[in-house]
Amino acid sequence: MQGEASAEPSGPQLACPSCGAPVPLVSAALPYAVCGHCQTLILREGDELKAIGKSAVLPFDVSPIQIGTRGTADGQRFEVIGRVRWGWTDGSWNEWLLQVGAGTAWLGEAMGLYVLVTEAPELLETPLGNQFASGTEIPLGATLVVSGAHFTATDIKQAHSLGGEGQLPFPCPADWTMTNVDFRSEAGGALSLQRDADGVSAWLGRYVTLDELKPVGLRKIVGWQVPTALAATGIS
Amino acid sequence: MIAGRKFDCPGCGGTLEIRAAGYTTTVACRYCGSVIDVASPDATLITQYHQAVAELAIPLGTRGTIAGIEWEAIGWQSRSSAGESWDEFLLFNPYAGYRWLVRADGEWTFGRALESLPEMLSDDVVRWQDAKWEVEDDPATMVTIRVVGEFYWRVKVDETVTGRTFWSGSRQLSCEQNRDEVNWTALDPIDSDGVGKAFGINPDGGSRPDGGLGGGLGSSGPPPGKSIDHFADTRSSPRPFVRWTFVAALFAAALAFITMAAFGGHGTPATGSLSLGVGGPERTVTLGPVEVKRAWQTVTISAAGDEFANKWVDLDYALVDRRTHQAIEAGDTLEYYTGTDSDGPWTEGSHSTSTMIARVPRGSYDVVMTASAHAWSDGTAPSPVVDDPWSINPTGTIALTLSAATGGVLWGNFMVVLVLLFAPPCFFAWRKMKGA
Repeated sequence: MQGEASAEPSGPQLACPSCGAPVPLVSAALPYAVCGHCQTLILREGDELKAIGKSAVLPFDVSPIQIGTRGTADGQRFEVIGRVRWGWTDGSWNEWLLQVGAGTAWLGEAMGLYVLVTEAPELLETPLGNQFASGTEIPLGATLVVSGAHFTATDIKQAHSLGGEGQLPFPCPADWTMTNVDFRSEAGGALSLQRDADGVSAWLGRYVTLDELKPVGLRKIVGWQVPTALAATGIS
Repeated sequence: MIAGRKFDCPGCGGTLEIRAAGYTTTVACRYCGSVIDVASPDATLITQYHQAVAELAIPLGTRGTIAGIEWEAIGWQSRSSAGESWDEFLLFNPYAGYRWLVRADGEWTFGRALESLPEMLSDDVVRWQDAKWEVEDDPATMVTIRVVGEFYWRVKVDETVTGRTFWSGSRQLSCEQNRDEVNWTALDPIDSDGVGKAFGINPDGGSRPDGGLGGGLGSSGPPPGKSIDHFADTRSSPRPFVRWTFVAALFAAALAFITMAAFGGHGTPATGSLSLGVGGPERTVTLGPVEVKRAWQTVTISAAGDEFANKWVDLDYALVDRRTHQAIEAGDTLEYYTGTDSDGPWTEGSHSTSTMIARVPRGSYDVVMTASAHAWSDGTAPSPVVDDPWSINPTGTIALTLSAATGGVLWGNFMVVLVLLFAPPCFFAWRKMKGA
């Protein structure tokens, strides 16, 4: 389809065990991948590839990000290598997996706003983290102090996975549900606590704008020009 | 990837388009005002309304550039507090997110949602971005009166929030709170002429009235108020009158034909082709540009398939103005069926079709065509229909040839003109004959 040409992935590729289509392999550390052609969920163990299920076809959205989009965050280059889309009763959001150097980070995208977070397991050791891990709900307005910054819970949602694409650190089965609590700080900091059947995780970072990430290889959307601030860094 | 997705309003059946697919959760129908849930794959009705189409200062779908970024107006809500009401337009750009244009008391402000929370210094003062902002009034209850268009949250008519406004010079911070959430928006004044220029509208009034020509049909018929007197006169009119009415009708018909042909005026066609898998995914091709060089012109879009039978192709057309990105939409079906029944062999349909879009305003257009091919089975043949012995092209692809050009006379309209023009003289002639 016109305008849908994605940024060409670089590097090694694997063949999907189900349909044979090439599946790009960017991070050797990530065990799961979703075939972009047939949505087969692939588990990689050493050199062996196993089809372990099907991921849902992602519903259409107009996100400017796509697998292969590259950019810079905090002075480090990153590449978008995977995505999970989450739905809740009144909407949905994207979480894009970034390969940053040898590690990963997540770029959350909701309502045209972006948060860049990395895992912060130490937050689970706080009383609020403990409370959340034990299954107790966190009320709106609850606060968490991290390095002197006050984070306030502004958004609590029960979410279910709408599907995934690219490479991922986990399988994303269709019946996967979680509780997500977003916190904000006065300085634009972002913090999320997530809890699913397997446990809890904590994520810390900040709100970012798309142009400060100096993105390259944004998705082309018919009828729209990439704004100058973004176009300055090029669209591949 | 086209940013839109189309669906039918479950309230009135009108075709609506989602411009911010993936973000939009609620659409308020622009035809009937019904509020529709589009967060799930099926559009479901939340609240049904039947109201007149609202006339907005910025018609939804209009684009304008503010501070170097192009925005499309996708939603509008009218809200009120303490007897005062104001307009809020939701703007969207897939690369830049959402903004607001708010018009209150004839003044416009440009708003964006805050990412960082203001710090509460006291009940009346907050700090944000190194400035102190002071509250204006006590918290006020704000009610949503009307909504049209699409929104990234659940809009509701009669929804109430408690709002407070904090000021720093001419800038405002608006804080709105309901049971579930607190939302902060920063609003900066924006000059109303700037808004007008950016969106090509009159920022002080409602929408600009439809420009262009009055209906070509209306101007060739008699003014409605006159027809009765005219009719009364003819009861005793001499024979030349009847002849004169025929001549006048003939003259008017010729004039109408020349006018329509002039509006038609053929241009160079833009062409393209598509290969469609039967039962496969829909495919899109863009043809263009099609240059409309007159104030208003007809555009004809034609599609022809190679030899196929017992299949149909659904065609969706969008004529997209390259400057404004406004789209005019149309649809067509290319279908050809053949078979044998008790009366012998039969065929229906054709291997080519064309659609005319009337009154396309001057501009340079791209024609975005989306097509999908489907196989038909009459139910007697075992499916799939590829086993159908009548099928000329059973392999399941259809090669489409597509073209779009300005020009084309709307024969249907012309026939209506002819009927209207010749009805009175025929009637008079009939009366004469009967009288004689």
